[in-house]
Amino acid sequence: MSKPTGLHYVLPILAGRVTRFATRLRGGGSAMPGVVVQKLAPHIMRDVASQLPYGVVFVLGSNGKSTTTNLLSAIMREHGLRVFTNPSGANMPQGIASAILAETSLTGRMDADIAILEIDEGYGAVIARQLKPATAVILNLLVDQIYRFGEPDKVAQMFRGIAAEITSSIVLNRDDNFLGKLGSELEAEGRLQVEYFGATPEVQASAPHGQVSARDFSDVAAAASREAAAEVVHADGYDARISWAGTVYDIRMPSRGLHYAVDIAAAFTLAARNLGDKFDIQRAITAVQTTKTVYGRGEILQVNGVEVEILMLKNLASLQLNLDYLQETPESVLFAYDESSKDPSWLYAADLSKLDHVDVISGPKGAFVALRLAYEGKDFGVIEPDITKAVQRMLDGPRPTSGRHTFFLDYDQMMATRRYLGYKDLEAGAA
Amino acid sequence: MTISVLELYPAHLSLNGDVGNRTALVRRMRLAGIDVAEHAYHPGDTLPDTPDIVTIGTGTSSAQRSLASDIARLAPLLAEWSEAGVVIFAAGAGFHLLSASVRFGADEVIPGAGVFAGSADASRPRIITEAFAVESDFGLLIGTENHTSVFVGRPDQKPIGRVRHGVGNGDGTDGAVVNNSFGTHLHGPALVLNPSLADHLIGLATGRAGVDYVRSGEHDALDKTVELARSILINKLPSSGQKS
Repeated sequence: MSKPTGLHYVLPILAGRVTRFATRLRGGGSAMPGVVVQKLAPHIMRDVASQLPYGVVFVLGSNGKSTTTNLLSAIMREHGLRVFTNPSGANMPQGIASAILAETSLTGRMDADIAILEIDEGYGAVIARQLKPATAVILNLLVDQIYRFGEPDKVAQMFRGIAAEITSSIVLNRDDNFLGKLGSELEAEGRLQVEYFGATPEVQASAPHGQVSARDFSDVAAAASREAAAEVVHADGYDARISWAGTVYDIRMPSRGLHYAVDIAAAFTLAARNLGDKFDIQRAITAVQTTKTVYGRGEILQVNGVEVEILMLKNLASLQLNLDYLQETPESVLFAYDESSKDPSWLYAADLSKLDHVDVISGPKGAFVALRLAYEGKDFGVIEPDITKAVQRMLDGPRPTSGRHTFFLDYDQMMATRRYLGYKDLEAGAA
Repeated sequence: MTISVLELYPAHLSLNGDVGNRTALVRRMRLAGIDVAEHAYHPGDTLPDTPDIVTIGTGTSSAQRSLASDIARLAPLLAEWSEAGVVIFAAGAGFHLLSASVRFGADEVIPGAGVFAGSADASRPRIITEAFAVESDFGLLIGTENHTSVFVGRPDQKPIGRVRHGVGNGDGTDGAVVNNSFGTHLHGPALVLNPSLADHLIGLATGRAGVDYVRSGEHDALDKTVELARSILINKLPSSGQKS
């Protein structure tokens, strides 16, 4: 492949910029510019990516992609690298193309050392063929989006397809039922460097519902006797202890829970894999401890002297883990469920014992949450389908003695809530 | 007198919150003041005592395959219970596993428990209907279907109803009814969204056990919330008379 001269990208990229300007004027989405530029210059993505000294890293998995991308980016920046990353949730092909092209100069160059991208599993193989990532991490395989994928086994197939496009190394969750098996396959194949992160059996056993991984019924699970590069040896509230290269480090996490600690272990393993000898665990810990949560994932907003904690609700695993790591029964609770969460059947598999009531239920499918609570005999106050009215109702209600409201929101409701509360920094992502 | 509810394979067949069917039955009976005992059966467990109600739910094809030998072990017992009039409620994969056989590919067929006549071909393209609606003796049953199957029953076997929107068995009907055993492709889970069906099943089970099931004001309050959830799906149905 010949090195791009750069000049032939001027017109396509200008066309993309004009499109971006036009779609923003109309208040439209961010995918269109990517479509336009790729039409005019089909190889532009690969060419831009191939110039990055540290290449492209994919962050994959059912849950924790945005959090891990954020953590890994912070660690890389702490090591002096210039990082390009896609805005949280913009993890499908056109969204990624648009994000990359927005940062690309007219001559097809990007001012970055590494691209760290969270990638939707359904589109991962297509995007990988374009960007040729050197390394990837797969965080977990949970029962997720059954409405879209049918069954977890299908997602395992997708991960297998993506792994086939990775060129150098892959980092996997040792303790995940499906990923442990994928690791064995990849090790046998011998093409990729395979490394693992995980949590000790004791830590997993002490978690109320473990990591809520999907079960692989296709054969007997392999014994988890393999080494993990980074291993969570303790996780309680905001405090974690992670073992790295024979030493155990205390870490104060930006958010709570075993799932967060495991994401940190993943980020350490992946950062070391990319940085080699330059990796400094102390720098990595500093980066993790000073990073902000990604918006909506354990984020705490200050609203007129009261805290609003936003816990994102995506599937059984995210709800269950967020419930399990609440430090006490939440006093003032909003629970919203959106139309984009197509099939709410999984709500019945959740253990809601951490909740004794919900004050306000919202979202177009809020009635499904109300019904779940009703079958449990738990009080749910009112149903207010309009999320902004529901949020206002919470704020107008009695001030919680804990000083904190707890909001369980799915993605669209989370975005609307942040906007309503005056947090309008979404386009910038979490810096 | 205690009514016992037995859920089969809850660790394997729980892809769509299927425990909700048990939750619905148990909650409604307890609201009526009935004493209820809940049991679960996992592969290899000691064979369970005869319950009043059995539930079995949805699961992946790999989960179903892994249950083949245990289903064979349980088959005579399940057939005997069904014959005797024990109430059985089977959804999705659970329904298929209680039929004569389930096909996963050109030469891969596993035998089912034989409670229902007919066979499932679970190797077809995936069908997902968010608002899956079935006209039945218990009114309009509503929920969601998500499966890769066609079910061919025996012509004289009664389905649970006629499909108003969605696919179901694939021939315009959904599920099967044999004695007091009910099979369906409805999840959601079905019994949380369809109290008329849940009450019918409870009525059959309590009737056999000589227990009175009398609805209370609390059932009415619960069912008002059920109506809200149902109406979200009902509003997604194409205008009446039209079939997908």
